[in-house]
Amino acid sequence: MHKAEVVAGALVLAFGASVLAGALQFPFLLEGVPGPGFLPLLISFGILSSGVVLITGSIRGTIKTENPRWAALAGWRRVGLMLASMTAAFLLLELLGFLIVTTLFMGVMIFCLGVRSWRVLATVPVLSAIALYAVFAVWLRVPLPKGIITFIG
Amino acid sequence: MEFLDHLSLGFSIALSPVNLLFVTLGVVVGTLIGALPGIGPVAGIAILLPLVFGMNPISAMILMCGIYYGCMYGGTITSVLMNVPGESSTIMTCVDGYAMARKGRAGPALTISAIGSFVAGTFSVVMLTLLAPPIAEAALSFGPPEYFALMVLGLTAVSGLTGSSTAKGYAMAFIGLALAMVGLDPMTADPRFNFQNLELMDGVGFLPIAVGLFGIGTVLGMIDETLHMEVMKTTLREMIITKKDLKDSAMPIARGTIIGFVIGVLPGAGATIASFLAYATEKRLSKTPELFGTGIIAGVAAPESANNASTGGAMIPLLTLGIPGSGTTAVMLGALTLFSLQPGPLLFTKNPDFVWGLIASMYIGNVMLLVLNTAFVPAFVAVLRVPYTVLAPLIAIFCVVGVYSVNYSVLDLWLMLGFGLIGYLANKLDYPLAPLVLALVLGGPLEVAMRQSLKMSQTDPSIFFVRPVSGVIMAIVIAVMLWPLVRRYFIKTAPIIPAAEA
Repeated sequence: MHKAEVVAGALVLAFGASVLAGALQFPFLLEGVPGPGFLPLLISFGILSSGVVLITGSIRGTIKTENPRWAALAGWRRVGLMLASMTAAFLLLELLGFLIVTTLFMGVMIFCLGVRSWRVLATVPVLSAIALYAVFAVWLRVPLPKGIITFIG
Repeated sequence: MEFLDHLSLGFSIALSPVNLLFVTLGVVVGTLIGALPGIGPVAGIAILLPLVFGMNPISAMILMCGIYYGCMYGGTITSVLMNVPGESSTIMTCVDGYAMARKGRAGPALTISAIGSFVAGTFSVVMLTLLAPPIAEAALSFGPPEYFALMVLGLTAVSGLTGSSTAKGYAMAFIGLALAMVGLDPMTADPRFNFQNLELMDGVGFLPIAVGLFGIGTVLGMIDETLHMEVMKTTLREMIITKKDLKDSAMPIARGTIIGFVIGVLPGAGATIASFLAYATEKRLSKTPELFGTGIIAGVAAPESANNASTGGAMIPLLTLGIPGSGTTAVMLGALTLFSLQPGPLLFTKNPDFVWGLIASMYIGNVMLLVLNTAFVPAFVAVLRVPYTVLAPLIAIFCVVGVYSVNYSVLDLWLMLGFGLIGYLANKLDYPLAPLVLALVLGGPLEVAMRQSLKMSQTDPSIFFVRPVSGVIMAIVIAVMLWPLVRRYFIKTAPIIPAAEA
């Protein structure tokens, strides 16, 4: 039995159940022709069936990942760090503004990924933020959040 | 000779300074993306999608197509010089390409790849030029049942034939269809699955999902393992090939080109399968099959020609029928619908400037790529030396600002992050992403076609089977669905097709 495969199959099954619950809230047929619930109901059956096949196949061992390459603990830490940094960046985007958030994000990430050169740490985050600001805010005229740096036109 | 008029219209558009700039940009960026291990054409196009929103649709599509076939060229560089496939369609190139590099013949391997890619790419665009108009004309007579059948075929083929497990492919396709149901019902305008959220009334955004799955998912995959990459050196002088190299490669290039084009047209297949088949065919036909794997030039020429020929082939169902057959063309279709352009037979009559401008740009792009991939290989190799510790966060922040720039929506950012995690885990467990994206793009039109058809037949599903065209297509759908059972019980040695197919 492959635990990760079983868990993935169970998640598919749970998603199918939630789609089924949602689909049942809409009419299957409307005046004799398919209504808003018609296709969602069929889809939910498809997801549920796939989920059942995935779980049973994983338990029997017929469904398994070829050469699974799960990360080592350090790899998981880096993935977690990236997700946490992006979450923090989204939360702070409106408050601090694009330039500060991007500089901080880049600085924290490249430091945590192993860059120790002070020259790189000092230049890459600032230059990245300025370059992206130039492309999106200046060239494409996207109103990126300014946050506390309100003096930038 | 109507196609010559069409082509001259196309070249007048493609040769405008702005479009020339975008062809150049597309093929350069495509080569770079292809050269970077881990980032394939689908991730590259998804990441850069937000940038094309301010452009006119022709320039945007020219750029995206340039990235698509540029990636096929670029992937070779990493395969030959590092023994790391730049993307899944260049896996086979590693075998003999890297062996040639170890013998000090990296230059000829890269040059013959560029020549083969050019011949194959140009051939596939010529075939696209000749075949697309009659197919589009024939498709004009298609009604909702035929379109429904075609979309089901596309989804079934991509779900059932790619990846290591059919059940995983179908699960991803059904999940994509479920996501496509979010928003207003296309016939009654009833809100569905929107959780009383106003932003979700318009449906789940294609962009945050595509960028999340392919962009953020790729970034997370990049940083979870430390890659130690050694790049072999090559100089411009070493790129020169001999007459014998050309003679030994001529037939493999011709055969790879035809195999690649045919496979490219088929839904569900694509560049990776094309390159595998071309390599296997060459080995089978060779008088010295034992030399394959030891650094034989035919082992580089055939798969490289095949993966490039498949790109032009893949554009045929996308442009003429509006049915993408792979993840990359599904992302392109998603981008086109965001421009309010609906690929399909009417595109050829309503927007001839768009279609022929795009096709003409592919001729120009292939010439540019031949030059770039013979004369500028050392420059692309230099980019491979940018450390992943800098590249990964840079791509991540580019995805963030790109997705934000389209709707200025923080909800889109959270969606992107969530789907990034899903994409990362799906890659680890071999759940193919292409069926999900394809289903997300086709879900809306598929529902409309299905409900219109059933309205026509007063809810009698036999309408999909009794009409000649839709009947034949549905028969193929059933054959594709039964294929895994046939493979399991009758063909024990059927090869597993890589899940990374795009």
